[in-house]
Amino acid sequence: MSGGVRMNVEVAGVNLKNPVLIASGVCGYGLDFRRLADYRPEAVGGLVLKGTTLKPREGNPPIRIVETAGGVLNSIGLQNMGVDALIRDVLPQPVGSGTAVILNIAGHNVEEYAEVAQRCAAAGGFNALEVNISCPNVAKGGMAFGTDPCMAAEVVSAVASAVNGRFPVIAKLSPAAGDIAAVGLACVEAGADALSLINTVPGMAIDARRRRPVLANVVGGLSGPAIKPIALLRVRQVFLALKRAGKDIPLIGMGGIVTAEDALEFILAGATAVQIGTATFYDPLIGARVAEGLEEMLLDNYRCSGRETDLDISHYVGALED
Amino acid sequence: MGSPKPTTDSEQNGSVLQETGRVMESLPAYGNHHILRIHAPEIAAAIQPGQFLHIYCNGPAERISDRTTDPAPEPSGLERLQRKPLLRRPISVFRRDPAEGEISILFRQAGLGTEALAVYGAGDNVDMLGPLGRGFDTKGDAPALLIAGGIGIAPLTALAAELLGQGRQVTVLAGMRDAASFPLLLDNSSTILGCKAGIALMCEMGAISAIASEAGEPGTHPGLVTGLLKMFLEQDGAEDYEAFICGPGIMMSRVSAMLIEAGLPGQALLEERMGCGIGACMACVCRTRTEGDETEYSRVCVDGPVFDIREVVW
Repeated sequence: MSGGVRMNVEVAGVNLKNPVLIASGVCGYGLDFRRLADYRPEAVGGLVLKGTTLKPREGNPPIRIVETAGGVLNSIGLQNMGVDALIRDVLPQPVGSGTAVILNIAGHNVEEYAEVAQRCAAAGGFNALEVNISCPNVAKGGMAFGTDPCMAAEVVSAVASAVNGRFPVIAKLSPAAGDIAAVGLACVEAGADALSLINTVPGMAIDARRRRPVLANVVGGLSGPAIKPIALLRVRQVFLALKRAGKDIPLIGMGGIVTAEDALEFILAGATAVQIGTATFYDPLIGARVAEGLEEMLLDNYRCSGRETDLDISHYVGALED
Repeated sequence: MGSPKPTTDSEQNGSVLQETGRVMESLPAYGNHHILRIHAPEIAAAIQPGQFLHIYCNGPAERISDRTTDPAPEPSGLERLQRKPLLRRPISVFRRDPAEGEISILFRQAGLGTEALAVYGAGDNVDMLGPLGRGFDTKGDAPALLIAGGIGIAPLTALAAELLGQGRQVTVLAGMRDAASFPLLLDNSSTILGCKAGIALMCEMGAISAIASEAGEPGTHPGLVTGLLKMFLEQDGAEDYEAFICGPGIMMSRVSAMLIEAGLPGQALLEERMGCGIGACMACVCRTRTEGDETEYSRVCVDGPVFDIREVVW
């Protein structure tokens, strides 16, 4: 914080030093980025670790990633070490180094989600749990839970009771849901303390010369600037639906954020915090740059307006004039 | 099913630099191949043969001499990414000169990223992460047999220089489609395995080389590099060599099978589409053997790109 700028926000009881988080899937378990000489995890509000399941998963065969216009299509298939290894090998390490750590969990059925959540909550060593009900890259479970309000509610409810109030529960929503606001509301009624959105958009890429899909899994999740308008609309829809329902539940917005201005757009649409994913691929230190850029934008606004409230990031949340 | 290796070796922590290199020279090589010589002293001092750079190929920034305003306005968001590659491109080091603070890359223009990279000219800045990955293990002392397919010759050139510097004997077998699509100059001084044509650069460095060409260029072995390798392995003393290979997947698969059958130790440099390049995103995997009969997906970017040929499930 400098020059009287207030960048800290609270999401479901977790105090974040700034609203910029690194999204699940691009920062592994928070340890790989330590290879970078200039890595400063403390410059972002938090890290969301790789989606973790009950048992280790080896993921999908390669090719797992392809660049498309303005975006990236991926189909990793939730390759992960499993919850027990996460608890044993990762959580005791200084994963966040002074920044919030959010675990992301996934499962094949409701019982698995609850079991993973229960084990994580018993182990501790993190700040919140994000429930992935929206992964497009696993055959069973994943996105199916995120497109149907009843199934989404069932998963969130099971996780919430497994966690039993020890950690905030964040439900991560899929843009593939026909009515994302209905899914979001169902998650909130089932006990979600926050919602994050959007996960990747299902898509495919084709190699015309070989007459084959590029990804071995055929279907992948599209991310990057190409999906930003989709994501902004979803955040706005869910924000307004929650407001109409009288639910004061924070949103974490994501989808194609590259610059501080992108991040502020999500905040104006109704997000209390944001996550950056794909952009870390071309700039692994982009989280820090976006956080610093946001701070500068607030200072600029204050210089123009003279209003103290322009220095406080929380005053921008949902402040879209429409 | 094996569980993916999650954590990093602590000795690698802090080893990856983000350095803005300055292009010193941009040279079209044969066909659609291109060479960039880049001044990047920190990476040049650290990078080893087989390691790679992750290059943001967004096209050169406006050249300073063309600017009307100083500093140039920073393009933002979509403007910056429109019709430009978003992902970095992993490219092996071709030559390195730590004393001059320089590295060279040799690449084939094969898509949006490498085409953008070929546009860079002397004086342009290029954003690089590196050194990345595990390079070749050069601690052995056996004579070295380098086997290249096409552009696979690029990382093996850096390796040849290193091995020759250590006083090891280096023999290179290279496969190519035809002379016009091969990135390096040929010479006519080679006399091994019945080939008159060798690689000029290898010859300059003091390595022996022979070339197989599908087009049957004069002086080459007509056909595939596996044909040359078969002849090599039939020679007395072939079993004393350590092999290093790089090329298309199918070529490396066949070459590895021949080397394993002949009982030679070998290392292969693998290529895969990459996301982050630092081990976090799990996009660039290949199937490898673990202890016992199990296999798992290993990350090419940090567990490789160089693997023991017996570790890879080809």
